[in-house]
Amino acid sequence: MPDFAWILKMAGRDFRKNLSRLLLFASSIVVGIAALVAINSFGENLIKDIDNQAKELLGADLVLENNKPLGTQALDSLALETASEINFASMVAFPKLDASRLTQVRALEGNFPFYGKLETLPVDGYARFKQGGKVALVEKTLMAQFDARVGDSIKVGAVTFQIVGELQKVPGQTGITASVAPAVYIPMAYLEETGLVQYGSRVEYNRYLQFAPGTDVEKIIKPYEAQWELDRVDADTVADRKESTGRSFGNLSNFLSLVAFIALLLGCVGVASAVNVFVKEKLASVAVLRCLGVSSLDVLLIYLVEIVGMGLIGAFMGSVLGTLLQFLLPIVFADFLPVEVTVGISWKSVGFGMVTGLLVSLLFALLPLLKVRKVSPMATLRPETADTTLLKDPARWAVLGGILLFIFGFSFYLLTKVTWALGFTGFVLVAFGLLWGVGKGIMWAVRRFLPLSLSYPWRQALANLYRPNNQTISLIATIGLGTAMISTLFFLQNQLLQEAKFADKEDQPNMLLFDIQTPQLEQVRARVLGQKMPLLQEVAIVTMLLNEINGVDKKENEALDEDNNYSRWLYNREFRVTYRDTLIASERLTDGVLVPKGTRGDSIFVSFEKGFAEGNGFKIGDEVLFNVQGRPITTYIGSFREVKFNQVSTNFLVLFPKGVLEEAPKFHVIITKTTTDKQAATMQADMVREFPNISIINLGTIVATLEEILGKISFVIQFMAFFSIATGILVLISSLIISKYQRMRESILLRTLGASSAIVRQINTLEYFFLGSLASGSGILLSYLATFLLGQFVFELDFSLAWKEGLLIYAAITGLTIILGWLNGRKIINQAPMEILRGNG
Amino acid sequence: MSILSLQHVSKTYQSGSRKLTVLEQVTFSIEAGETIAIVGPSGSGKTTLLGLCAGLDSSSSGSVVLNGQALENLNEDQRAAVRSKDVGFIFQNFQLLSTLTALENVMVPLELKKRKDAKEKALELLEKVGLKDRATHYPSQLSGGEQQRVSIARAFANAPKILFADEPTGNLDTETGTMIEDLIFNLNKEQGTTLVLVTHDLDLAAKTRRIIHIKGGKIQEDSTHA
Repeated sequence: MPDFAWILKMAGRDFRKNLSRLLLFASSIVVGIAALVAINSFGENLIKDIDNQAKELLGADLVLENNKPLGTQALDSLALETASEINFASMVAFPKLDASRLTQVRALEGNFPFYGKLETLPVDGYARFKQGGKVALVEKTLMAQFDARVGDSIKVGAVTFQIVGELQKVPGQTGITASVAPAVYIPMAYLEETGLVQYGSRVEYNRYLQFAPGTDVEKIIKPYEAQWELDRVDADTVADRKESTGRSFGNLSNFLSLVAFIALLLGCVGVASAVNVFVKEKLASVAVLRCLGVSSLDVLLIYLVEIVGMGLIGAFMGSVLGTLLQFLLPIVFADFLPVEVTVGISWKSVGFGMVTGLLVSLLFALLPLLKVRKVSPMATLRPETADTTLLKDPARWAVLGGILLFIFGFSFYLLTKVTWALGFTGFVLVAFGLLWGVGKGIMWAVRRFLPLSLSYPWRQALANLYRPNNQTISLIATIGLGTAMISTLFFLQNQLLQEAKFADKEDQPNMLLFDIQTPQLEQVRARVLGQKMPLLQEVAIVTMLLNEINGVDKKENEALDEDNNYSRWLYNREFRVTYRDTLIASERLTDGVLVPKGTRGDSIFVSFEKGFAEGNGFKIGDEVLFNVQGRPITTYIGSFREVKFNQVSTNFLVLFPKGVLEEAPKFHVIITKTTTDKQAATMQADMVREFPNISIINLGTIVATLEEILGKISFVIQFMAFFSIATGILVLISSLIISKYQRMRESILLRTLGASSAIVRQINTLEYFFLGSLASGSGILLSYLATFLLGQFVFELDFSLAWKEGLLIYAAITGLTIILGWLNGRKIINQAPMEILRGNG
Repeated sequence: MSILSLQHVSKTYQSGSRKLTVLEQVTFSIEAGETIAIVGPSGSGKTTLLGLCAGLDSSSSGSVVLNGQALENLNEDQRAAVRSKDVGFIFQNFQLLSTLTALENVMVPLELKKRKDAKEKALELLEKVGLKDRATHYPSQLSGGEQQRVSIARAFANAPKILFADEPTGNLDTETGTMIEDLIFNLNKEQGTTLVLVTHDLDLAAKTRRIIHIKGGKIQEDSTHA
């Protein structure tokens, strides 16, 4: 039975002399724990705030939504107050600049929001809006884009409105929503006059209801739910909104926690590597203790107590830093937050950080620490026998298993799905394995192919990378993974933008005109051709609903159990469908046969988009009953198509054959190509003036929106990747300090042998240069691979080697390593040789 | 009464496909209170023999009985318990624990025996080796001779039945070496400990009663003098 009192005493004695060194180990996990605690605290507080501000999220007690007018609802009479909104996408023109843009027009009637408020600049903007008249509230992003001022006018359809306020905040809406679909509020009274609500317009009708305080909304809507289900009316209560928003942000917070966990794992590699050096230095002491009669378990426990102490200090420091850091997070996530977030200490998150920090440092430190059990007391007489290998030690494999189990358990706790947790654990294994492999490979290649003709400082600097205890591989892994994360993001973002910007190449379309009514078609066609622009595609679109799948209607589907039913969404959504007898360039037939023509009365074979079909459990031959403007049409799935969605083109989930829908009410889309920005602007302005109901998307708008959204997302990801880089830097600093004495001895030896300070400085600088190059090089190589894979399998982009960006990242990381090395090395160069020889350095 | 007895002890190492025999069929025994030196050239197997006698290593064949206990039947932790109880060590390179003060280094064997008076006893021993006033100094703050004196105090702390010294003056100048030799022999006499010395130094070996010459892993000569 170990004598714990004595073990604690011995650990305390050893800790006392190793305090600064152990603090360095602790620092490796500080950033990771800080990130974890900050994200967790922020998530906790956010969920609490969503709970507290749930009514403001919805703006009402109940919202009813439908794509047809809601009419008078029985519940209206129970409500204290009601408000209505009709919203749809439409072009809005800014006459001052003669420019226009597709926006989300919201026609409002009543005192919405009942809870919270539409925040405007000037503050009385909303009050002026409610006074009536042809006035509008415009999203701040739109105002900025068109350099508009309050008092300017905008044209929505046929009506000109005066801007009375710049919208700062709308209940439940985030900055990202505002970028994707910037809103313009107009009074409902003038909606008809705009002439924008026509056939084919995708219009959403909202009814907002406020009930007396204390009303049990869930209870009073119960009797109406069945009818709403049939009418495809979506009812959203405060509880629903609270749950869905809370779930979304819970997922976001869990995802970010995983990113923070990666930073923590990087720190743990640093801990394992530093403890490895620590243990190597302790082997002689271990041998003496064994010689004096201390059991192997007691020796292990002495150092384990120190490591636990170190883990506790690291976890504590990380938790304090994380709690402070969360004050920054509302700024970082400003564009994603639907509520005002309060910040404060979350003891649950602090506890989580402390336990995690302690566990990971213990597990990762144990890996090298197990070695002390195997040290023979003979090492006191023969020191060279002290270092042993643990390759066959079952305890080492048990610890490795424990680490994997911990990673799996941690990710399962956050992701709550076994397959996802396994995926994340696999990802961590592969990423670390790849970096390890790349680092090892580069180092092998350097050693194997190093030309002997290189001058001495170059050869010496390269040889230094193989110095025992140099931690070269673990530095490559930690700095490399941080670099890989940042550069993958950077490369991918650039590639997406390049792809969008250069869509002009070949004869790709770059302008899309939609919501064209059949009587307008001839004129629009002529206008396009008159501008010397080609008619690349002309597509007729028919809207329809889905009534039955294999004889199962909406009501029957509701009664089926989870495993056998179809998604409720299929029965509620409106399908926009076209008819053709051939496939277009962005489509490829994958299964079945495309039947080009159908006849009423005969079997009609339609083609489904492959991903959509497979995701919803459709099979070739399934019977699907559509409701086309009240007329039922029975179809069979004849084929699946793969569709490339990353082109300016009309793509459809469902494709009908010719000969079926020609007589159905429809609207049209024309796809064309402009050659200059001026031509695009003129065309857009002309169209909005002449056909205000027609909406236009051009590539410029897409690129601008994409840039704005990617900018916002990448800021968050870069902020998270920063933790990994910061951990890498801490591990680098700790490694430089640990190897300082060794470097000093080498430098002194070189100087004693006659090397000048300049040569020593050159060797040191070159060593840092190689270290930085290897780490950033490995990371960049890995990120090229990741960008290639993501491009191929997720974004369907052709890979282009972003060598300029790669070079920039390489220079930045390598430069940073050299600077840190210099800062650490100043003392080495200036140390007097005798001090080192005496062992006082 | 024999405190240490070796019967046909051999030690071989496997080096790749080659077997390397370092000690071959070594047999001798040592009586309690005896002083003995093991001498021989470099690579003769002296250090290996010391390791086996002290239970730091296990033999490939043969038997080592230390204070009545056959070491080959014990595992490493059981041998550690024997060392803690009966054995003291003095090393050529002192082997003090660098993170412990001189006093704490001497206290370790006493604490392992759960002695309540560990501190007082350690101070007493430090006084005997003339270092009471350096008790709070760390090894790096002591000279080589001082470090070896602390090591001697530590070796005698658990009142060992047998003391093993591996080239105890090998890292010291002649004057300091002589002082250390005197200290070891005086304390040995005072405590009645068995002393086993491993050394190159024939002058030092001559101070013991018995000398075992070893060469090529075999005993060449085992002589006793007055």
